[in-house]
Amino acid sequence: MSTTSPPVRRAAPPSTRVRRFTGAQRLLHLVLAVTFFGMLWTGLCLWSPALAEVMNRPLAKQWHFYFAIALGVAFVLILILRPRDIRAIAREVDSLDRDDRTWLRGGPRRLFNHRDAPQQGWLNAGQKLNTAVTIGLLIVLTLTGLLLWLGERNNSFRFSGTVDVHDIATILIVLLTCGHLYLALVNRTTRASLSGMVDGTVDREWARAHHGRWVAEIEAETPDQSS
Amino acid sequence: MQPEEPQHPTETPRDRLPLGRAAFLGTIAAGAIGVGLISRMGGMGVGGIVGSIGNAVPSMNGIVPTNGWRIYNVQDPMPTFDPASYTLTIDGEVENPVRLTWSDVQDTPMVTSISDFHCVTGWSVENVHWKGITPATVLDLVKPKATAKHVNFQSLEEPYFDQLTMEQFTLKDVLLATEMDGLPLKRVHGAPMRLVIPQMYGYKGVKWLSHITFEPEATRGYWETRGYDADAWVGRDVYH
Repeated sequence: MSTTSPPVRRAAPPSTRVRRFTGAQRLLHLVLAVTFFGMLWTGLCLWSPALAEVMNRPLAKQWHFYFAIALGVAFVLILILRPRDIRAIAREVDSLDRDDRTWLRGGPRRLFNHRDAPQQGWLNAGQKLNTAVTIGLLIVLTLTGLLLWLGERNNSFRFSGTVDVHDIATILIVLLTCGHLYLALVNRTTRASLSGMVDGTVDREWARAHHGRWVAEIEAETPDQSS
Repeated sequence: MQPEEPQHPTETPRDRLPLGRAAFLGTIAAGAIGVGLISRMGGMGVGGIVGSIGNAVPSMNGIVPTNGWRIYNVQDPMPTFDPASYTLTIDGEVENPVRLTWSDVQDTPMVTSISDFHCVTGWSVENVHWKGITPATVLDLVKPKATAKHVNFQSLEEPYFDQLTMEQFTLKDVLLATEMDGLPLKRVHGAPMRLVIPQMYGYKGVKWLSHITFEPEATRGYWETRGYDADAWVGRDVYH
């Protein structure tokens, strides 16, 4: 039996930042943000009498449509060019483990106080559900929008419930977006996450506190964080 | 006797349930079911519900659609009605072309009519009280020739116009309306005069009406040249 002790892997001091989102993921988020507000603005011009004269109807319709096409094309292109980056999100959002469910049972207070929360992975349970429902609403908006477009051209596609569901989905996605913006820009304990969508990195200690299991996983994968 | 439930003290914290997928698919399913159910109800009028908030809060007036109406125009700004300069010209294939001033219009016999208004984009307003000039009165006044087969309606909002056949123009409840729900037509609804044809979607009902021309030939209207169904009959969808 050897008396020499096993080689100790001495980790260099880890960098204070940790990479959270890839370029492709941030680009998709940016395109979504721009086209979302584009569609919201043109949609409001189509809906509000006060805005009807700010942007006339044919022009607003045209741009509403172009923004939707741009988002769809960007999604497909990024999916083709960087499938792994998109699949990573889908995989993460898809299922919620026991810790996620415990996190959810804590209710909305988890958004403001994470101290007694179970350790979370790359995305916490709230982020997972927000992503799943937001993308679901985007698909509902796309399909009802398509029905509205087709219904103007052919009566067999025209259903009286389409515009109501388009309206309801819009109200819901605007509420979710308001919450999303509040947590990303204003709320003291969560706004450190913003840089993850800007330069792709977040503060390692903040990540350890909010996404402890994720940080543990990436540190286990790459123990040397000196690079 | 029931066997004792096996204990799972070692259950991994990572046992996963596809709740994200469920939330995603559930949202889409709710949307699809919503379209089906609300269509069977004949529409819910979310715009109208939000509009009733608009009615209750005066400062919201004009910001949100009220009484279920959504205001559509194709050029900015919307035409402004000036009683002193407004004229309604009716000409083309007629024996007696006329140019009516606003006071001539007001002196023309009018009738009232109650009908539902349907927009091709899916919203409807029920029981709208219209007052206006009937097609029969117009035909008596200008006496169309036998060559007159179509009627063009030109809006002050250039280049908006649409066209009806003579048969469509003389359908029941068609009006050149100057009043809506007991009040002079508002600017957003096409002041001072709009075409009302309840059997067809609203894009046929030309607002800010300024010129009626009887024509021998068919011409496609503003929205029809932009992809809208030339067949604007209300109620040809599967739920009606």
